[in-house]
Amino acid sequence: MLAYIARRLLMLIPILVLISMVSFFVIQLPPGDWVSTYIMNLRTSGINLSDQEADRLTAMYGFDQPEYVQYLKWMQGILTKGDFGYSFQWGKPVNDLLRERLPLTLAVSIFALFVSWLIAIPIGIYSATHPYSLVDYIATFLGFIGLATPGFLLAYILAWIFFRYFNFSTMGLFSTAFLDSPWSWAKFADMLKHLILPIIIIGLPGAGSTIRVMRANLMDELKKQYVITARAKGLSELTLLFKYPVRLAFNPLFSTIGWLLPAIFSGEVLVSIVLSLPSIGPLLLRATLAQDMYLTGSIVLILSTLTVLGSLISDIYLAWSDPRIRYEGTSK
Amino acid sequence: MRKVRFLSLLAVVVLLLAACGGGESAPAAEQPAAVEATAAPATGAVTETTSTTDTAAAAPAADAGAKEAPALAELVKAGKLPPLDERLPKEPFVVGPGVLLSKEDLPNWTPGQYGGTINTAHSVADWAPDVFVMLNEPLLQAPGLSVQDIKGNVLKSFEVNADNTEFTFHLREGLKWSDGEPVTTADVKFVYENVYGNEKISPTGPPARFRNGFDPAGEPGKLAITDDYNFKMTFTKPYGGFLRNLTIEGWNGYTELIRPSHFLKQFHADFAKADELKALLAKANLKDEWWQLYTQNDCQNWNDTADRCIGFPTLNPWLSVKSQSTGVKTFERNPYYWKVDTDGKQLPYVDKIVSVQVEDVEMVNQRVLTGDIDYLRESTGLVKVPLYKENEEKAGFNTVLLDMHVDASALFLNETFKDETWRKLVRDIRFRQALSMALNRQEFIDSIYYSFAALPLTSVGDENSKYDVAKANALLDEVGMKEKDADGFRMGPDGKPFAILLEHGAHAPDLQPSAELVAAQLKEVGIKVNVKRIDSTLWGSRNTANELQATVFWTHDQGWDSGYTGGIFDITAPDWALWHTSNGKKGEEPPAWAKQAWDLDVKRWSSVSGSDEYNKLKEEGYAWSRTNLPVIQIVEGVKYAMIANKKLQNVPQAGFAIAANFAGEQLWYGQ
Repeated sequence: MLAYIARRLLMLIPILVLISMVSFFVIQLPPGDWVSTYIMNLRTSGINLSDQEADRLTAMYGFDQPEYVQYLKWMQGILTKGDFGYSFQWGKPVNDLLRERLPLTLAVSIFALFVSWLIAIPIGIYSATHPYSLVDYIATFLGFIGLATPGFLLAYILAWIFFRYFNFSTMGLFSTAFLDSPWSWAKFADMLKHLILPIIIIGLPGAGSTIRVMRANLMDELKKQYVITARAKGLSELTLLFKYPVRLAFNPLFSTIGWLLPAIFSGEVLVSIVLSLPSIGPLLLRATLAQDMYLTGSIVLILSTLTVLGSLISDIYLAWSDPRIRYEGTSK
Repeated sequence: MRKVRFLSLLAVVVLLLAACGGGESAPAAEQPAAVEATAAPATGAVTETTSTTDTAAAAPAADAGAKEAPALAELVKAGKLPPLDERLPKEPFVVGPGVLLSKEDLPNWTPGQYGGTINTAHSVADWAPDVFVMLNEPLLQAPGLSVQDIKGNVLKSFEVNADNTEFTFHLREGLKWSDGEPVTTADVKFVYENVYGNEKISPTGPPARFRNGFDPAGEPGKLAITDDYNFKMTFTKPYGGFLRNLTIEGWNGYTELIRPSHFLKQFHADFAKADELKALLAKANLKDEWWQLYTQNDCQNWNDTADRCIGFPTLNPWLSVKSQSTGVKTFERNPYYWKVDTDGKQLPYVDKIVSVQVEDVEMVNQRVLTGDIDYLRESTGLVKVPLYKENEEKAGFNTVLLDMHVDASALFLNETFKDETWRKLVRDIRFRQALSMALNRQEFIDSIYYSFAALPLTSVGDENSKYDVAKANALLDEVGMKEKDADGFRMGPDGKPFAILLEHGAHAPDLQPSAELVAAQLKEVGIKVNVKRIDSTLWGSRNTANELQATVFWTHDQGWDSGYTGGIFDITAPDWALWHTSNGKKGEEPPAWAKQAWDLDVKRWSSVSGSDEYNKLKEEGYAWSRTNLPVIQIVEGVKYAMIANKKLQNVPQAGFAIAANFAGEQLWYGQ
């Protein structure tokens, strides 16, 4: 087991180096750089920067240096000081930007994840144990709607309903009255009020899929012989259900932790944009559009690292919790 | 063993739950940090204003006689701020009727009361355009963004010699930076000699506005400092447009010539102590590149809303201060602001501006509808006027229809696009005339601009803007596009299928409908247009790289009387423009008619802005545009919607929306 973990960890190193290179160089592929984007933005606001100013900015930010030099400098900062570089767009260190946005992003994503599990797991279990009943049909129907409705559309619709019928702006984290006031309980409560909608919207599609996964897995398990054996031995239905098949049905959920980690870190991009949530997803989108290379590169790097680590955690967890999984390849 | 595994599964769930709990408490844990942050604001003086502003708004009658905001008066009383007369220059700028905006645009100017907050929103990272325009202070100014009747602004006054080569300027004695330091000619000298004159910071020397005839290759003007408050600029050739170049044209500000040298010297190798500079460089992760450190710490006018410029000494009406929430920009009054109203009350009237970052420009408008916005210009849309009107009453704002400072969408046909057949065709004026006549402009005016626009009589002229399909068809036959394919589309003069690829961005809400309508209408005369919407950034890079065949974009700035001349080639013939800006080293040499445009520009810039000669040259520029049709302007005189809280006073009813935005310091809240 330990050897297995060590081997997997060693394999991560070349993968991460490759990821860091790809995340840095892909951003440089489109024509132009951050300076040209910045000048374009100013131009749309009526400010025309002279060519001299553009040359000056290019030299100032080091865009005239070869790309590999820029890359090496960036990696040196990350490895030696944990410094992810500077965001041109925001005029701030990348670390500060992430620090600002991480608490909210984590809060929304994790809350949404649990809301979706809280809704989905009981419904999934009930659906599986009472298949083709009325409740199952309703749950299935709602599950598919949850799966099929894009979150951002739901956000638009709910935002409109809240505006039309409650005259409540769902956008952002705070009401206008609290924007500029220091932290207080009232401001905190106001923030929670604004968080309910995003948590529900982001949680729903997840709930839809979890219902389906839970139901399918559990139904497979329920047909197996150990269930019949246990039942024949006189175990009560409830004990039987939760002691064996439900536990096994969880496995596929936990094996997706690899995808959950990066999702929790970045937050739901489209919904966050629609609802103006200052989370990391919209930050990444903006950075990519503006060719803000260190910011984009850092977020992509962190997301990729989390994906790789998440897969590792899933694998280790499964290997450990399910004795049927072997560490060696099948050929041995 | 099995029990252990099940317990471990539970443990994972519990851990995740704990993490979730952690997520909830995270913002709460930030509380003390956030409070601490406000205890260290930009300038010591404004610390206390946060707590007192609301009371100021509630009791405006009490301060009727006061010459400064109540919050500032309290600071003076507490000894934390010098008294008002020590903060104002000897001769402050007096705002009254017809000063910031013309009397025609704002007939009922009234002196106001202190208090209140202007809430607004922005949708670009670290850039609040509406606030920037409100903050910006040029060196000179003329009412309503015109260039007629230029007067002093940050600079008190000026004299010009008879042949427009020598300009004498006078600073306001006693003018102070927002940190209380005096503004003197040392700040001017610093910018001209140590910033523009330093080849590390400015490799190409002073910008074009400080060169003969506003020409990037022109000889730079000479600066001579007379004493602490007077200086002279001398040019070797007449440069009558110099004054205009120091007004707000192109959104320049006082930072073009005056910057807080007392603050900036610590980052400049000519002044800083070697060991101190080294320490700063090390902190910024740099070795010897002090000029990078300098630029990172210098704030030009368009940086004023950026977070990094919090605490930078300015001359603006409001100062950027550290905000209480992520994604929110807060600005508080500058206690040293140098403008007063006719009653001698220090401006601005409004205590604070708060701009919230909205991730999506569409959602900015939702904030308008819920009444969360007191002022908005940049992100409004003419197409949204019905929606604004419907919610005006409930949300308590007015929709003011003003003029737009740029001319809306024109059809640009790239004359230097790399395709021989296309070039030959598009350089034939008959082809351009045909396309212009094939456009039914009334349909554009009615369907896209809700009739708040006019025919382009200035730039295109009567004949070429008249909708005439028969004549357009005849001209297209003449230029060799007589053959048609099975679908009725004209073939190119080379006998091959012909199509124009029109790529447009999303810089303004009318670009996409305009592009689509252009395609639909040109189809009627057999011209195939494929419309493609691309990302605005990509549009910019494709334009610079001379890769756009055709596009729709806005044209000239009416706000500063800019002509339809040289600037037009940036989009309609990038290679010609490049030839011009590189002095013939790069790009492609333009034909004589195109060169005429730049000659006209230089002449206009050399004449005195607003003079008869200037106005005559301006007309010549328009005539040049009508004769040569470098772009196919679709409409002129488009209106622009501006949102203003119903209680806001001194909001104009005519003129440019952006001029109203610029005059933010005279806005105030009535009852």
